[in-house]
Amino acid sequence: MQKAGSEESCIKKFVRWLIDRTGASDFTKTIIPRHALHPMYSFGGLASLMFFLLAFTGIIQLMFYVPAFGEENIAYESVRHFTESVPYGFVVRGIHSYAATLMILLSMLHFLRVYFTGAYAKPRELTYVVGIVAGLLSIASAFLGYSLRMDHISVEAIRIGQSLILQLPGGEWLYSLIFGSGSFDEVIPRFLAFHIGVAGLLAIILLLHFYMIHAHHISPPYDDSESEPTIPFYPNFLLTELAVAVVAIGALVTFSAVFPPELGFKFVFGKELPVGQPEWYLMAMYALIKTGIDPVLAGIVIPSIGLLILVIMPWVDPLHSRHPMNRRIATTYGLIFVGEYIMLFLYGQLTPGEQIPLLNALLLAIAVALVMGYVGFRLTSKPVPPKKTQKQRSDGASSYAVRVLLRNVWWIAGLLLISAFVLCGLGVLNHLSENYYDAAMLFGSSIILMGWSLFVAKIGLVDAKYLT
Amino acid sequence: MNTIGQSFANLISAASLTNLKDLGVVLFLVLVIGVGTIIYYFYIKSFRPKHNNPENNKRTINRRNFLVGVFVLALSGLIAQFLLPLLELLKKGTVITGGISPGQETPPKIANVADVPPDSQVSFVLRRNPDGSPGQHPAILIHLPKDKAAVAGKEFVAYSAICTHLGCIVGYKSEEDMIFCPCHAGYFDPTNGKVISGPPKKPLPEVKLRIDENGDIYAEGWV
Repeated sequence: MQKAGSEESCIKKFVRWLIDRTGASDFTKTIIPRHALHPMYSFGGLASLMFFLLAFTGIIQLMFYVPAFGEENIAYESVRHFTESVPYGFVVRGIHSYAATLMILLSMLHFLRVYFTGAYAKPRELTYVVGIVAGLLSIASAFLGYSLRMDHISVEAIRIGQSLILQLPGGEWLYSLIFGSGSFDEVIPRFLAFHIGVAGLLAIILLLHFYMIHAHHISPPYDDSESEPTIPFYPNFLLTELAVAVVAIGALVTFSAVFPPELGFKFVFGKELPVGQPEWYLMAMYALIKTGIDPVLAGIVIPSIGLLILVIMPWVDPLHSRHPMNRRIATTYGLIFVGEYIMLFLYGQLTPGEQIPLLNALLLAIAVALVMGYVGFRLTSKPVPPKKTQKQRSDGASSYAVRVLLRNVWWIAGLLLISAFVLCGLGVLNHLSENYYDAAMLFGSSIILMGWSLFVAKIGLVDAKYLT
Repeated sequence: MNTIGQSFANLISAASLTNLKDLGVVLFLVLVIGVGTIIYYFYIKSFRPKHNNPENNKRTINRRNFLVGVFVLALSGLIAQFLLPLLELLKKGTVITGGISPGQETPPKIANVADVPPDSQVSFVLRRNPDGSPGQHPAILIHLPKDKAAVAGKEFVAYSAICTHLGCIVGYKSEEDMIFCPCHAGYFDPTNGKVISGPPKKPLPEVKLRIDENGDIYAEGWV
C-alpha cells in the first residue's frame, strides 16, 4: 500500500508540473455547471470530435488519392482501389464519410439547442455568429469533399455548382477562378485544394469559437433556475469526454466495417448514368432549385435570407427571459424555418430526378408556415415564470442504480475490459489472416467496450465522492 | 405506397440469414450505446458536487489500484488497436498510377506523317517509363532533315524528352539540327540520342516507332 501510494504521488507531481509549465492551469480550474452535463449539451463537443477524426482520416486518404481525371476517371479508380484493396481503407474512408455526415447533423442539433434555449443572449452573440460561420464552412467542405469521389453524384454536384456560379453577376470571372477551364482534369486538383483549404479555415474558426466559449463560460440554465453546484472540468469532465469519444470512435469503426462507405457509378464521358441525388444536408436547397425558379434566387438568395434572419436574431429577440416559451419572435421563426427545411428535404427526397411544380411547392410552403407559425404562437402565449427552486433529493435517498454501480464498479470495469480484450484477440487473429473486414468489426466493438470500461473506472476513481 | 412496400421488402431482406451478422452488429451497437446512455443519465442525475459522500469513497478506495490498472490497460489496448491497422495500411497500401493496367495497353497514336514536316518535332506522352514502370513519360517525335535521315537510316525518330542530366524537358533545335536541353546546355545527337556536349552522361532512351499504311505513327514502346 505504502509503495503504491508513493508511486501515485510521483505521477501526480509530474502532472501538476506539466499543467503548471504548459500554462494550462487556467483550463484545469474551469468548472462545469451541472446542467451542462445533459446530453443536449454534448452535441457541440461531439461535432468537434468528428472534426478531429475527419482531419486524421483525411490525411491518410491524401496519401492514396490521385487527383486526376485522365481518360479513365483515375480519381474514381483511386478511391475504389483505396476502399477495396488497401487494408482498412474502407474503415478510413467510412469514418471520413460518416463523420462528415454526423458532424453536420450534430452541428445542426447543436445550433437548435443554442437557438431554442436562447444561449446567444448577451455576451455570447458573437460566439453564435462564429458558430454559424463554422457550420456553413463545414457544409462547403463536405460538398467539395464528396465531389472528389467522381461518381455520378459528384458529377451532378459539380455540374450544379458550375451552373450556379455562371449565373451569378460576374460569374464568368468567378468561374475561371474556381474551376479553371472547367475540364475535370483541372477541377479535381482545385477541389482537393479547396476542400483542404476550407477545412483549415474551419479549424481556425472553431478555435475562435472555443476561445469565446472559454472566455464567456457555458450559458446558465435557460429556465432561469438558481445557479447550481458545479463539478471540476479536470479531471472529472475531461475523462468523461475521453470515454465518450472512445465509444463514438469504436461505433464509427464498427459501423463502417459492417456498412462500407458507398461509392456511386463510375462517371465516364458518353455513358448514360442515373441522375445523382445530393447529400441530405443540401437536399432542401436542391428541392428549391428543382421548382424551376431562377437558380440564383433558389440556391443562394432565399437560403441566405432565411439564414440571415437567424444570424441577426440575438439583436432582434427582446430576451426578457431565455425560456423558449417566453420568446415569441425567436421560437416562432425557428419553428417555421425548421418546418420549411424538413418539408423541402422530404419533397426533394421523394421526387428523385423529377421537377417539382412551383405551385405545389408554394402552397406546401405556405401551409407549413401557417401551421408552424400557429404552433409557435400558441406555445408562446402563456409566459413561463422563472424556476426558482430546484428539485433536490434529500441527502438520505440516493439513486439505486448509482449505488449498485458504485458497489460493483470494480468487477463491472474488469468484466468490460476482459470482454474487450477477448474481442481484441479475435480481431488480431482475423487481422493476421488478412480478413480485414471482420478484424475491423471486432476491433471496433472492442474499442467501444474499452471506452465503457474507461468510463466505469473513471466513475470509481474520481467521481465517487461527488455521487449520492 | 411503393416506397412503403419497398422499405418493407428491405426490412425482410435485412432480417434474412445472410444479413444476420450485420443485424447482430447493429443490435450490439444499439445495446452497448443504449445501455451506456441510460447509465449515463442516472449518473448525471446523481451528481451532487457540494456533497462529499464518505460512504462512496469507502466503497471504492480499496479497489483504487485495480481501477487504475483497468484504466491503463484499456488505454494501452486502445492505442494498440489504433496502431495495428494503421501500420498495416501504411505498409501494404498501394496507389494507382495512370489508371491503366498493363494488360489493356494500346500503343498511342502520335501523329500522321503528313502533319510533321521535315526538321520539326511533335511532343507526346508514353504510359510507361523506360524502366517499365507505369507512369506518364514525356517524349518527342522528330522528322529528321535529309542529311541526318541518311545517317540514321530512317526519317522518323523518337526519344524520351527527359534530359538524362537533371530531368529537364529537351527539345529539337532545327537551326542546329540537334536535341537541346535548355537547363544546362546539353546537346544530343538526333540520329541516335547520344550526348554531343554538355553535362549529361547517358544517351536519351529511344522510342520504338511503327508507321502503318495510312501514315499514322504509333509509339510501340522503348527500344
